[in-house]
Amino acid sequence: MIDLSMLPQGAITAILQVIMIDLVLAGDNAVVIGLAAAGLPPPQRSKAILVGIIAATALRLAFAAIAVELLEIAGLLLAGGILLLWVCWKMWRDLRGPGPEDTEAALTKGEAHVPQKTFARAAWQIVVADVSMSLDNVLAVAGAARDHPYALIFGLGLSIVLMGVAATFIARLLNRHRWIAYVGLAIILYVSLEMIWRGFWEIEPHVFG
Amino acid sequence: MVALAIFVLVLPHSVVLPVFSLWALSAAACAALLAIFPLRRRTSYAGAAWDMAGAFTLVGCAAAILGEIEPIIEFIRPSGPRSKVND
Repeated sequence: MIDLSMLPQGAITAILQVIMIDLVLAGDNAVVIGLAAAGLPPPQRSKAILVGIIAATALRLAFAAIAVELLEIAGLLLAGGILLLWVCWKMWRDLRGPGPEDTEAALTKGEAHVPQKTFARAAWQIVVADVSMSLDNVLAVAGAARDHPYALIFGLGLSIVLMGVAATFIARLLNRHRWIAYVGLAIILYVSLEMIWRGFWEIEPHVFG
Repeated sequence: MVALAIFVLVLPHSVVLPVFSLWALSAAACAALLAIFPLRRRTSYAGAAWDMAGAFTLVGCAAAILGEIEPIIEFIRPSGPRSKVND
């Protein structure tokens, strides 16, 4: 049993803050991974979720190492928002296309070419979305736990578990009820527009004054 | 629902969404546990329980995304002056 009284009060606060930050910021990653993996057959779905988690973890580690340098680059948030908007467009096109059942039915009818969501396309969408969203998470967590590296490591581990479990639940739901994917897409669209908005005000002094 | 209404009334407005998110994610975990370990072996409600788990997760993630991080960090901080959060 862990004795929390052994930890200094600052460390407990840092861990609590990291838990809450991860909860808030792992959510958008989970929705994107779940959304991208939803149209795939079950074995490929698990692989896509794994790719998404590995990419998000690697990106967070890389961004954490250069967090100070990244903070000095103006327009990074705007670029990330635009990138995420592009992912939204791709996901919208995938959603408007035929589902797995439609594709199967079309193939039995003998139609030669039916556009289908592939593992590579889903993985690419997940990695691009992870690039734009992991940056926000790293900067927030690094800020809350800068004096407590173990809280930082705990936060990283927690966000990996959160993303994996949440993305699996969401992908399972979206596979059964495809229309809910539009709700997920609206959430990601909101995240991208918010990033563009914040990014615009970040570069505004550099551009206009 | 009553507990949720009390939450909204009692808590500062700025932490309602993160707390709601926490509640929804906990509900998702309970639904997933029910899907994995059903209470009655004869009735099959695993599909519905998985749907509930997914729906609660999506709602929890949406609430977390719409909520702000700064008020929560201020709320957790045990000592020192607290900056004024938007209530």
